Amino acid sequence: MTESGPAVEFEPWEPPSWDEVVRNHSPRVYRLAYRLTGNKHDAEDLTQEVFIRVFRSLANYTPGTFEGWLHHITTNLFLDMARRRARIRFEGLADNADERLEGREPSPAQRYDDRHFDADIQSALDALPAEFRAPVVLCDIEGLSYEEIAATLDVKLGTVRSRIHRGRAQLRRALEHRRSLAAKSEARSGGKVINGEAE
Amino acid sequence: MSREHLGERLSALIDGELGPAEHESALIHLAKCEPCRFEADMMRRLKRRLNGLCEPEPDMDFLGRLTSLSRDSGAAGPPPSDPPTAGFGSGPPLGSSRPLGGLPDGRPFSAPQDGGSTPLRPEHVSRPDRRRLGGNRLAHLFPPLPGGRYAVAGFAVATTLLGGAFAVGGEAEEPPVVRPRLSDYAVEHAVTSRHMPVVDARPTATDPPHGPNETTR
Repeated sequence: MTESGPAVEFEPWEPPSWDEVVRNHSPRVYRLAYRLTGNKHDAEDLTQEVFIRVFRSLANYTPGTFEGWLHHITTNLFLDMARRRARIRFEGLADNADERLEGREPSPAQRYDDRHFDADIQSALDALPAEFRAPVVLCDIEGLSYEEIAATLDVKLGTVRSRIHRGRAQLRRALEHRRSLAAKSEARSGGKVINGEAE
Repeated sequence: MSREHLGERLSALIDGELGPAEHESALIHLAKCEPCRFEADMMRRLKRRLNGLCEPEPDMDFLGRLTSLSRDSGAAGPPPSDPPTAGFGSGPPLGSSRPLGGLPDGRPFSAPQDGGSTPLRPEHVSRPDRRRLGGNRLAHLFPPLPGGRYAVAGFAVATTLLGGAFAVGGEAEEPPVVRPRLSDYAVEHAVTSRHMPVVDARPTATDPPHGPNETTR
């Protein structure tokens, strides 16, 4: 432990092999990409874009900063993609979105299994404008702090807070709306069955 | 005060993102305000739901494609007839990067400054094209580096582990592939290992065990 001059502590650091990078990080990236894009095809495209960038910048890899960086590029590529596709939607829901949300009282919707709910909430997520979806996904699914989200999205902390809040409010509205639609159509189809039996 | 609903603070509250004072006053409000309590409850449920979404797993097939990104673009080098499509944008075409060993005038890298600010246009690139991963260019420039070229070249040799076969030999018959940010790293390396001003830095640059031994002695 003798001092051999200042700062010649250069360790011959080897970047991880590509296989390691893919193995260790692709599930996370893919999961985030899936929640952001809402479908497998786009999630794969987005993940691949991310890894192309990772591949190019592998030499810059520094352990510890990688995860944050992955969040950053995944989210920003997604936002970029969303903007370009003009997929930013306004409040409200697509008509084909039948949906139900757990309410205060037990409802038929609550008997749906998780897979169903996943699909429901995913389509409600999809209906959120990308600018709101990204912070909500980063916060509630990825578990990032507001500060981390602010850094990821390059926006102010206050913006993160208000987008998350508005995003959630829209999500809730969307889910409730879909629940009531579902309830109506259920009532309607129930009536049809009775009519059918009566015939 | 208690009549003013929490609004945004509600989200921050359930995320644990309020400062101590705000947190406390929000809780006090919540105790007195039924609508806000209801909102908070609904929001917690929503958060739990989102958090409990099952985690989609990437296909093995897809993972294979990711893994092969390095092979496609590395060993074979970028396909000369297949320049990056507009997706990777405004960079110089393939092959326009300088040879790794430097130019005769001793300036190893002097690519045009196009910065790393190329806009990302993922959807402009069709899937098969993307797998070729042809878009190599010097994203970050670096200033003329007198005498540092051997350090750069030596280090580039080490980075063939990245999966790319670099044609580094001094004579560049074909323009070798240059990863954008590698150049930064090489400079950094040269600086940290104090080889920058030295004319021939190759021996130490490619001698990894040297450093640690010295420090343990």
